[in-house]
Amino acid sequence: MNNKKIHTQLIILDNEEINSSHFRLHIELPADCPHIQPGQFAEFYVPPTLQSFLRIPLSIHFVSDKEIQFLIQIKGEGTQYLKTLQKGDKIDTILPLGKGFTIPTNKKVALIGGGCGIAPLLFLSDQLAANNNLQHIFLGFRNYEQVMLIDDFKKYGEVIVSTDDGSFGDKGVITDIFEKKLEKFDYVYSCGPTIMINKVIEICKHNNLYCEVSLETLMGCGIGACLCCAISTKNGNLRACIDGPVFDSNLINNLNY
Amino acid sequence: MNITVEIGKLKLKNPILTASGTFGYGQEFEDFFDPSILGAIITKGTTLEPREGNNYPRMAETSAGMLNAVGLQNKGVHYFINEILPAIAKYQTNIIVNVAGNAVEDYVETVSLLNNIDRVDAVELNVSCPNVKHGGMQFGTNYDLLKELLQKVRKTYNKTLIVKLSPNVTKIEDFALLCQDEHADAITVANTYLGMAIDINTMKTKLATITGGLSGPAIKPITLRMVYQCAQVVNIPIIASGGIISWQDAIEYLLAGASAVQIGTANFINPSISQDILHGIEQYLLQKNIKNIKEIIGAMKSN
Repeated sequence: MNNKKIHTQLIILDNEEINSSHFRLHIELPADCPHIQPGQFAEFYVPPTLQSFLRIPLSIHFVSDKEIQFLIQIKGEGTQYLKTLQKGDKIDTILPLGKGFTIPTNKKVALIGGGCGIAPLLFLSDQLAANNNLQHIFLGFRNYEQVMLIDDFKKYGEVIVSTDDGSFGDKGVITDIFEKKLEKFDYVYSCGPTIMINKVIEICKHNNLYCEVSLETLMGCGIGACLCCAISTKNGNLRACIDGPVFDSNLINNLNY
Repeated sequence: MNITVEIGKLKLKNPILTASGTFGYGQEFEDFFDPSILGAIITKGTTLEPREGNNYPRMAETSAGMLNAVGLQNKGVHYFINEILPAIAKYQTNIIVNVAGNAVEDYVETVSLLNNIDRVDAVELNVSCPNVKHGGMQFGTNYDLLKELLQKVRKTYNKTLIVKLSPNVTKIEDFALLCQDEHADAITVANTYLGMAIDINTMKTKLATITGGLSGPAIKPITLRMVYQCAQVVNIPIIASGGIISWQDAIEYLLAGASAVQIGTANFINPSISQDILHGIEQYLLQKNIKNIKEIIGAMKSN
């Protein structure tokens, strides 16, 4: 069963520019906020436009005792609106939603993130560290300009970075680097583009590694009612919003979207 | 103030219902408000056998609306009766099961099972789902087929029978009259409108099924017109369903002749919107000094 959810107005504490296409929203942690697991998400209400009026689901990036953070890529009208929010503004939010990652104790783990898919991995990394897990963190980006938050992750473990064009870190896709540096990881976690997730699932399957992936889909309601966010699994179509967004990779049929 | 309304044998404490497929089974909304405050809960479309539904992507946002093509994913009527109903029986309101099928026999078998379940107060016959290959909208857009279906279902099902009509017809009044003639207790006007959308970058259709059902505020004026047209020809109650996002929208539907309204897509934007709409209607009646909500049903005047 998923934990309790709240629907509330939250106060923006800071809007931090990360690079030309990403920013990080710092939002006040409400006093009545239920426990948040890494991998869970929130749904923001943004003023409707002629093109869109549904809520925007965004994964929770980091949680401290004072704030909740969201790492956001500017994609459409909704995220452009969120970019304009400033300290003191309010945002209508539903959270925490979905099922998060499993947090073991005293294990050797690997995290593989691509692009803005690194968003939920920072809080995951924080919680893994708090439970004494040894972490290898693989982060892939398109190019130097897109590389972000390396120092944030370095606090928690060994960070390996790659860029597609080699302008920073190793050259190549991060899944190739991960495969080359493969060890007997007890847990593997991944979030990023579909092509990357499929590759991570394949590598883990081939090497018999337990893996959890966080999947992104279009969502209607975000709370399990509309069944729009179907993920094809060995157990039939499941809902990304409530059965996920984090899934045991063994369950997932090849993602083709 | 009296805001109760009657739909067939059902007495609703208020005219606010939730549209099938937008409210799960109510449990998903418990953190936001108590579903017991509603006039009724209408469940996700339920079929005789479990259905996996359509492939992803199943939705697309459009101007003031959304397309969906879920395809009646559900675990079947037996699972509903044995696993879901016991968990939602606690709600102190009517439970209406939305029933869909591929063939007449599927509908008949499903409603005959539900006929014996005390806690199921009514059935809403879904003859208008645009997202399944067989059955669904085929029944709601074919007069003779619908007639056969209604005759067989009515023989089997003794409790309140509501028929959810398809708006994808030339003259919805004909179908409304057919429902009345075949002894349906009420009609829901209407399901979603067949539509589509294309991603111009990938040049792919936005839905895996190419077409899907359009809902949301974009459709409200069209469905409002259909509610009005049906209200001119039938005496059985009309339940309006189409793009309601505010209490004002709900009042418009009542004025056009609906006895109750269903809140659908708006549940996705504000999960407690049904509660807000109920309060809005009460305030409206109070301000207009209207003692009984029935006074405004069909009370629209022409300009």
